[in-house]
Order: sequence, then C-alpha cells, then structure tokens
Amino acid sequence: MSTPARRRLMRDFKRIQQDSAGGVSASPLPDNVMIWNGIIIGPQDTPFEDGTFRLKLTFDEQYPNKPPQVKFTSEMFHPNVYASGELCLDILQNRWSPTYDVASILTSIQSLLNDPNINSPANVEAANLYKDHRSQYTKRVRQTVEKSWTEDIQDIDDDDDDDEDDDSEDDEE
Amino acid sequence: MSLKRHNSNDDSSSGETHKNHLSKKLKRSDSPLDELSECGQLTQEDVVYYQKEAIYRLLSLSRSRNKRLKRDMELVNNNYEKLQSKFLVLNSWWFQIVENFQNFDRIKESSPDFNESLLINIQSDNDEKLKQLRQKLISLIQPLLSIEPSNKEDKLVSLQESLTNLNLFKNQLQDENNLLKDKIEELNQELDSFIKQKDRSESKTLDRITEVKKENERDGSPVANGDSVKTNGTTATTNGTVDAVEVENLKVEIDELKAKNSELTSQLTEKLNLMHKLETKLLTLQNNFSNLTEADLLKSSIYQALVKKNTELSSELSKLKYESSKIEAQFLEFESNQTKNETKLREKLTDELNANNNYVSKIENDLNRVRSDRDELQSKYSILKAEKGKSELTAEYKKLNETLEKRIQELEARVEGNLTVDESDSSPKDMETLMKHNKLLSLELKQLEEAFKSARQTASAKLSKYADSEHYINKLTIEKNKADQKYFQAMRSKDALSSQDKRLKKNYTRSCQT
Repeated sequence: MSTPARRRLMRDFKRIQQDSAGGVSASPLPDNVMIWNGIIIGPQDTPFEDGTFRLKLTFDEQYPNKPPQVKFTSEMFHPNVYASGELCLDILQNRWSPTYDVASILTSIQSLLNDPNINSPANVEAANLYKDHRSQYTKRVRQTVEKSWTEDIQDIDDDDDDDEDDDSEDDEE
Repeated sequence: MSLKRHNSNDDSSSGETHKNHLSKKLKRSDSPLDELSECGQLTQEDVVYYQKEAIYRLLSLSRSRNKRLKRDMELVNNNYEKLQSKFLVLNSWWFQIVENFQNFDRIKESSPDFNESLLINIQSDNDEKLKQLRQKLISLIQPLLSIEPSNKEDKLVSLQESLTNLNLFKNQLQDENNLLKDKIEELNQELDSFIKQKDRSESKTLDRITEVKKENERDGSPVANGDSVKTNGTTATTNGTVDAVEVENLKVEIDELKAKNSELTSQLTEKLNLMHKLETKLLTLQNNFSNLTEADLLKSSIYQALVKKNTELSSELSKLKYESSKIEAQFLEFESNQTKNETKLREKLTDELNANNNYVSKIENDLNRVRSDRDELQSKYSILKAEKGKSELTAEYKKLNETLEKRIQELEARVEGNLTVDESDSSPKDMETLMKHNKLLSLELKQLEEAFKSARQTASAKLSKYADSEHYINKLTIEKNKADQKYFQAMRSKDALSSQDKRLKKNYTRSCQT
C-alpha cells in the first residue's frame, strides 16, 4: 500500500542513489521499505578515518513529520553515542525538520563523528577521554575502526557459509 | 539493491578458524577492481573493497613501521654488544687499577712487560679507539705508580677538573643525542604520513568516494524533489544491465501514478467548481452585507439582541440619572445644613468667648475689690490693734489710780486709828506733846500731800504725754496703712492696665492678620 511516508522514502532512495554524498550510503530492506540499512565511512584526517560504520534507520508512517529512529549496529566509541548504539543528535530530536532526508541525516551523523557535543554526553567515558586524554580517545576510536572491518568480513563469511550450504544442497539434489 | 552482500562461490569450509577465513578472503578477492561500481551510491562490494584497502593501508603502514623498528632493533643490539664488550674491558681495567693502587708499595720498577701487564689487552682488533685509550691509561698510571705520592692532592684536583669537563661534555652530547632522536621521530612520522598519503592516493575506493563528492559539488544544489527523476544518458548506458522486472515495475508505477493523476485532476476540477460557486455566493453575501436593509436587520438575531440590550441599557441609564439627581439634591441639602451648622457654631463660639471674657473681667474686678477690702480690713485691724493697746494703757492707769487711792485710804485709816488711841490713853502732858507732834505731823502730811500731788501731776503729765505720743504713733500707722493700701491699689490697677494693654495688642495683631 502506498502511503505518504513510503512515497517519500522512495523519493529519498532515488535521490540518494543519484546524488549520494561522499562516504555515506543507505538502502531499505528488500521486504520492508520502512527499515533501512546505512553505512558511514569515517571522515578523512580524523580518528574515525577508514572506518565503515553500519546503522539501522527505522521510519514510521508519520515520516517526514517525525524523525526516524537511528541506531549504530557497529560498535561505536563516541561521546554522543550510547552503548546501545542510539544517537544523541539534536536534528533527530527537537530540531527535526521535514526537509531533512536520509542523505542529510547520514551526512550530519558523519560530521558529528569528528565534532562531538561534549555538553550532552551519551558516553561519559568517551566524553572525558575526548576532553582530557585525547591520545587515549584516539586509540579507543581506532580500535572500533578496526572492529568495524572485522564485523563486515565476518558477515560476508557467514553469507558465504550459507551460500556454500546452498551449493552443497544443490549438488545433492 | 545497493547493499546486497557479495556472494562468492570460492572454496572455504564453515568450521575453520578466523585466520583461515582472512586468508581465504584475500585469496578470493583476486580481481576486486571488476567489482567496484562506477556511479550512484556505494554498494556492499564497494564497502568491502574499501575496507580491504583500508586494511591494506594499515598493513602497509604497520609493515614500514615494523621494518623501521627491526632496523632500529638491529642497531640497538649491535650497539649493545659493542658497549657490553667495552664495558667488560673498562670494568676489568678499573679493577686492575684498584688492585695496582692497593699494591702500590711493591711496584718499584717499570719495564715494558710490566707496563703491558698493567691493563689487560683487548681481544678484538677493530676497536682502535679502545687500544689508544689503553695506551694512554697505561702512560698515565705507570708514572703515578712509580713516583712517590707527594703531589697527590694536586693531581686529585686536576683529575676532578678533568672529570667535571668530561661530565660537561657528556651532557652536551646527551642533549645533542636527544635532539637527534626527536628529529628521527619527526622524520619517522613524516615518513608514515607520506606512506599513508601515497596509499590513499593510490586507493581506488577513495577515488570513487571523492569522485562522488566532486560530482555533487559540480552539480551545485541537490535536486529539491526526488519526483523529478533524472534521465541521465550516462546512467542509462552504464546501467545496461537494468533489470527488466524493475522496468516493468516502474511502468506499473507510472500507470498507477497516471491513474492517480487523473483522479486528482477530476478532484481538482470539482473543487474548482465548488470554489467558483462559493466565490459567487460570497460576493452576493458581501453585497448584501454592505447594503443591509431594516428588514434584514430585524431578521438578524444579533441586531434584535442588540436592540433589546440597547433599551435595557437606556432604561438603566435613566434610572441611574434619576438616582444621580436625587443624590445630588441630597448632597446640596447636606451641604447647606453643614454651612448653617458651621455659622451657628461659629456664632455660639464667639458668644461664649465674649461671655467668658466678660466673666473673666468681672472676676478680675471682684478680685480687685476683694483685695482692696482685704487691705482695708487689714488697716482697720491694725488700727483696732493700736486702739486695743491704748485701752490697756488706760486700764493700767486706772489700776494705778485705784492702788494709790487704796493706799491713801489705808494710810488715812491708820492715821485716824493712831489718833483715837492716843486721845483716850494719854495724859495732858503727853497731850501737849502729842498736839505738837500732831501739828508737826499734819504739817509734814500736808507737805507729803503736796509732794504726792506734785508727783502725781508729774506722772499724769508724763502719762498724758505718753498717751499723746501713742496716739500720734497710731495716727501715723493708720496713715502708713492707708498709703500702703493706696500703693497696692495703684499696683493692681497697673497690672489690670498692663493685661488690658496685652489683650488689646493681641486683638490688634489678630485684626491685622485677618
């Protein structure tokens, strides 16, 4: 069934396909357009450089009048990201505007990575390290960057294992 | 879809370790360049390729660091070995020197063999510096050991000086060493950044991302609405393998959209017609509203309510006016009563004041009269008191008279008694003598009487004189009292006049003020 929210999401998808900003990517699930998987590549010359961070965006029927729920599925060490992966970002809460689309949300999150807001920390340890021990903070962030690579490789391995299972089944048939 | 997982049918088994997985992945991605998409957003394959390149970059960086560290390590090890051998030689020399100085007394002669045995020989041939140092030390120690320790202190001082100089030199060298170390560290960091930059510049995935960015920048502002789908020729050509199903879906979607469009158009015409009707109605109503008749007004419930309200308000207003006039009349009456009462009270007050003033003046007069009466009575009292003193004098005078008369009578009675007794009892001789005696005595009596009379006259004259003077004093006292009374009266009249004067002055100032 086509609803305003779904139509808008399809439009966002077309737009992100045609004019995707550098270092961000997102697409809906094949069976549910209301849930999207996104990826943000860590900005250059920052501790997050070379990292590939996965996110999950959940929309409801009130979109774009209401912001989506955004959550990092990759492990993150950032002052404005909770341990659960949820974000503390003003444009996803009280400063949301219907003019924002998926690409702009992801770009905002990408810029948030190197420009955290220390005044409202979601991860106190990260905020304290960022404030007082920057080298320690960088080290922890690099660890999450390296973890972000292994997560994807593990996922691919899992997929390959599934494929191999399928192949073996086919052979058996 | 873009984030589809990369499926590969290469060899691997599910139960292998993570390390094997990694090696398997490296084997599998033989031709990653074929899998890198050229436009649109990043695919899963692009991301994995990017990750691999990132890992490769990190590995490359780690490899160069590792190489450098190995090189440093080798250098350090070599240095350590050299230093260890030198340390051993120097340490043995030190012990030998100590030993030699302990056995100082026994060394008396100096032969070349003996000199050679002072410090142990060096095994390695390539350490020329150490050999030279050995020779120098021998040349230094040998004379020290051979001569008497007379100028020991001087030499100690010189040795200390040389030690200080050497320490200074050592510190300088240390500083230089630190500087060089810092420089090396900087150079290493620069090398790291250079390697990283080189790797990044060679990275195709990064080129891919930056290309997308550049395209965006070239395009300027992004498309405002996704509805305007671009029919980019390049996209069409590059995406030659567009799925036919997707085209079908798009066609269906277009049909749906067309149907929806026609529906919306019909709805729009309906709404436009309705809007036109409503506009005409609005115009007629506006005309009616601008030219309202009495009948229209009467029909209007608001107008009727307003009229009713108006009548109610006017009746209330008239009531209020009546109340107001009534209150005004009452107010005037009260005001006139107040002025009347005020004038009455003022009159009464002035009357009372006048009466009081009169009464006060009357009382003052009475007081003056009482005072004058009192003074008069006081003078009368004093006169009476003086009179009383006079009567007492008279009474005393009478008493004296009586006492004198009584004495005279007593004396006459005694004389007569003597005469009678003598006449009966005495002889004629005696009679004659007695006669003579009697005559003498009568004469003497006459003389006494005369003296008494003269004395009495003198006393009475004195008494009368006294009385006269007393009378005169009384008279003077009365006169004095009278004069006092007059004086007091004059003072009182003076006081009254001054008070009257004051009152008049006060009245005058009050009248001036008014």
